[in-house]
Amino acid sequence: MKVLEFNNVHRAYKRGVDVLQGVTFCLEAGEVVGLLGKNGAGKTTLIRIAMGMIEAQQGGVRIFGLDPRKDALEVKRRVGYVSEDQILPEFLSVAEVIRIHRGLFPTWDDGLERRLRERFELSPKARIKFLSKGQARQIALLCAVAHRPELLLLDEPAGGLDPSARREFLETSIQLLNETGTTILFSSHHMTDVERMAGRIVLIHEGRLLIDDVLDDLREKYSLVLVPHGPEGRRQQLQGLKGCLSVRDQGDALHAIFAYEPGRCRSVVERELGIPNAYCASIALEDMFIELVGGRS
Amino acid sequence: MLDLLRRDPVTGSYALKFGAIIALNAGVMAGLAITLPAASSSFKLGRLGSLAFLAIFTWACLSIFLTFGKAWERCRPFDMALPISGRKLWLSHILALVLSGLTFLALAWGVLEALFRALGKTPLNPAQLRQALADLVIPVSVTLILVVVLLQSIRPSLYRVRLGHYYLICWIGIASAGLGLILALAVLPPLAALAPLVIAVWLGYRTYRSVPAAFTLIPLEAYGGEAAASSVQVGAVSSQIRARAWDQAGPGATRGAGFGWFLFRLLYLKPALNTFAALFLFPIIILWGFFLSGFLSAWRDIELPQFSNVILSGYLLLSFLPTQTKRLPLIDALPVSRRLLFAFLTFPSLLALSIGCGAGRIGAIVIEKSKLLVKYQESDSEYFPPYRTKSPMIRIPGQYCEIAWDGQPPEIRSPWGESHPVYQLPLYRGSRITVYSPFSTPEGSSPQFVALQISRAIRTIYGETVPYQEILNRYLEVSDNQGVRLKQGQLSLLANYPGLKPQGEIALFPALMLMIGVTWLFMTTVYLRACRASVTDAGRVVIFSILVAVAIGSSVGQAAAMVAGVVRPDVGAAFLRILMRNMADATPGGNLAVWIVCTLVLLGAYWIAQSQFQKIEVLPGRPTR
Amino acid sequence: MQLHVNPSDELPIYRQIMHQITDAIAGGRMAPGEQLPSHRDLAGQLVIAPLTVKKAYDELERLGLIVTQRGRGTFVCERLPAVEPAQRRERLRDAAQRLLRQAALSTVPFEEVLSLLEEIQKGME
Repeated sequence: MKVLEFNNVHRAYKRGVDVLQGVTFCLEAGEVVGLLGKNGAGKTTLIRIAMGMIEAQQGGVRIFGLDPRKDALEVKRRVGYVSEDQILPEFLSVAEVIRIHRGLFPTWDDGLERRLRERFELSPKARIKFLSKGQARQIALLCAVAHRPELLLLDEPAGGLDPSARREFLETSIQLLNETGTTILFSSHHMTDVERMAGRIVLIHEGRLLIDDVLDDLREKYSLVLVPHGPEGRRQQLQGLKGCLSVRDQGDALHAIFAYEPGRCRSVVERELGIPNAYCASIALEDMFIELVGGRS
Repeated sequence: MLDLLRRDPVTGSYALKFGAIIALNAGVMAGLAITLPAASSSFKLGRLGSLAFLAIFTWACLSIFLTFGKAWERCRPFDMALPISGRKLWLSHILALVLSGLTFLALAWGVLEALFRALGKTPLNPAQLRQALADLVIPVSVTLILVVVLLQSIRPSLYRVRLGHYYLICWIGIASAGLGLILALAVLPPLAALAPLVIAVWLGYRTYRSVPAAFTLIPLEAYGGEAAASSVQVGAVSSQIRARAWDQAGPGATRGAGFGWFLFRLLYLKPALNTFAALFLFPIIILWGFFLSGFLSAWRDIELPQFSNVILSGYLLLSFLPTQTKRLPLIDALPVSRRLLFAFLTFPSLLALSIGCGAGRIGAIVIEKSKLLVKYQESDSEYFPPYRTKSPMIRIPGQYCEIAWDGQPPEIRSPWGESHPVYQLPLYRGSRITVYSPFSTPEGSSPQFVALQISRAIRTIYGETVPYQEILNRYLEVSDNQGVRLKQGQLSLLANYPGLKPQGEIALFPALMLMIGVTWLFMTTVYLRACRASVTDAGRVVIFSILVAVAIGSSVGQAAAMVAGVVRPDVGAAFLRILMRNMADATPGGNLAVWIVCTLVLLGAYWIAQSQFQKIEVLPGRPTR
Repeated sequence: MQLHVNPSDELPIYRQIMHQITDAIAGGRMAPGEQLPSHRDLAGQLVIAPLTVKKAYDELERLGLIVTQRGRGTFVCERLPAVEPAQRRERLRDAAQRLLRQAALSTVPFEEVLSLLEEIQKGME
């Protein structure tokens, strides 16, 4: 059963400035998908469209088969949402926030809540406005997770947190995965977190879907190829090769990402460009990200 | 220095927005101020009254500006990092405040002065208001300077004073004292203004010396008990104590009424500044409703504009909305129904208006039951019907007059053939439609005719038949100059004919609520339509300002039309009331039908606004580009 | 036994787990019939997605190195599959290449590499 479905989603904020152009992908139950992209690529917009906070101007989104704008209440009851810029009402105390969430979510799990609040060492009377960013995020995570949602939408949840807070966040998510098999869509800039948690990667670049693939396949089936500079037009030629995703000019050589494993890349480059023994190796996620979306591509 | 002034938080967009609103409000207030003395013969603003009225109005506008217009933020946080001394920043902030305050005053006074000068040639002649305005220039300016210096002397080391409850109460005290100072200075000789000026300069200098080289973000001492306690609590407490604290805090969920209270606090009361605004605005809405209801007209014959300020009333109810939409990101991710949220956004203000208006209407109806509605007297009042006369005329409430759609009212003919032209007024200058009093008794009417008209008036208004000969014998006599006058002071119908109950009451309450409610919900719909991600914050401010401008413009336009003699509010009000009475008579069920129709239309407008609310896009902040 | 993963390594995480378990079995650190931690336990321990652990275990099971019994857990197989000699060599080729390249970069002569290997071999017994 498809838990989350984006279908040809278009969204622009100003006329002529498209944030999302025809993004299509979906999540099955139990999947963990990492959403990657540069700042401003449209990740936050995509997640907000899923939550029903923004409307897709073209195309549609379905959560559990429902429209998050029309059936907002039911969708929000079954979804957990944590975002970097999400703020809780500042005048409430921690206990009050939890009480309100208990009242709003019928599937609230008191045991899970107790475990989490003991682990985060939360104090009931503390006021939200006097908490640090990490503590506020922990409460947001608790509230998003304690009602055992079927889908977790995390928009840079560990943004601005110190490494230990980030690790705790990760551990909590993994625990939830273990216990309930929640479907998770999360966007993050911390590649190590993504590599630990994600089963699949979706990369959005300039509003378009660039990669939608299993993470392990990405590691094994995509390669970095270094081609020395050469005559004019070599770059275009390289770019035009089948299986080439991007080419970057990095001073010393041309860096290209191919959707083939290293061995096959080497033979392709040798055959098409006549360069034997070009450097071809599998590439870590962070480097692939930089190659694909960073700099002049 | 000029550069600093330009960068000061005060001269940001907020201050300009407020300033424009305040200056325009002057026109509105002027409009209201004019219609007040015009309406009633017994209500005249004396010198003190004019001073007090203008002083309160001016100082209220300035106080609003000083409360909400970033007066409490002494510099931008960015400027704190620059190598500019704290004293310079502090001084520039004071200058910015005083200059903008004086500018707005100049704008508002300019508008008022122009208006009063235009009115000077009319019979309304607000000469006293004009004089009061001139008297107030120095007191208000001096008080502004003193109050600004006082405000900036509160905790001068902070770059921004957070408006918690304590400071708000201090501010209320200072503002009230300021008003008293203005009134005192207005009645004292002009030289008395030197004293507060000297105090201001001295206090300013002392504070200037004490401002540190750099502003700080938080004071050295604990800000208040709360923060210190919480920061100690979080973290450094043993798990056992924590567990016990949690057991005490208790399980249980916030539902129902508790949740409703949370929503109310979220949308109206927090942060502390919003509580202030709510405490200020809700009583104003209740009073506004009360003044609209016509209670004063029933009680003391003070006629206030009832229908002409509908758009402005709509805007009054709207004024919460922009701040509230900014609070929505705090709960948009939660499964809270948008219908519920919309109800919370709309019901409180609507309820406040209903309470004021309803109480006034109930009071008015109760009073009118025991009030004589048919009068025969002279009057200075310009109010219809009919007009300022030397000899007595029959005076009845507006809704018992009639409308002549073609400008040809029927002749009133007595059984013995006497007839006189009826007194009529056009709906607006040049209109064919006229409103006339069917019980006119112009000069030259015989006593019998007068008695006949009185009898007919009683018949129409009370439904009882009192033969005109009885009235003639009982009440009327011929005066020296061949006029007809009452034997005794008053036409004491109620005493002589107990059991007289007025008929044809009109359902003003649903009509008023409908007009205001629909206008307000329409403006709400327009604003909500702009609450989308594709509209920038600045765009929303523009749209809201347009709504404000329309609202205030309509009132100003109405006042101007009145001043120019194009329309008369009493005629307009009478026209609407006659229409309402005719509709109530024509429909089965009378006023009940009016109630039902008004409720249904209002519900329809509510539903439209609500569906617009369900489509808005709530964003915590601009997405990163 | 203690596993650890490095998310930024070239190898996918599931392969790292597979390699470590395979090495442990080959080196005798894990005995036939010994129980492996469950998906969830290992996922929580290593802070990785449980599906990744499942993938590793599924692959190992396909290779015949471990077996999952419903309701009881995952165990090292009693009888390990015979590995074809060619395959065995292939597995080691990458590691050997890396080792020799590293030695060349550090200008360590081949004889020293051989003696290093013998030293480590002795330590493992």
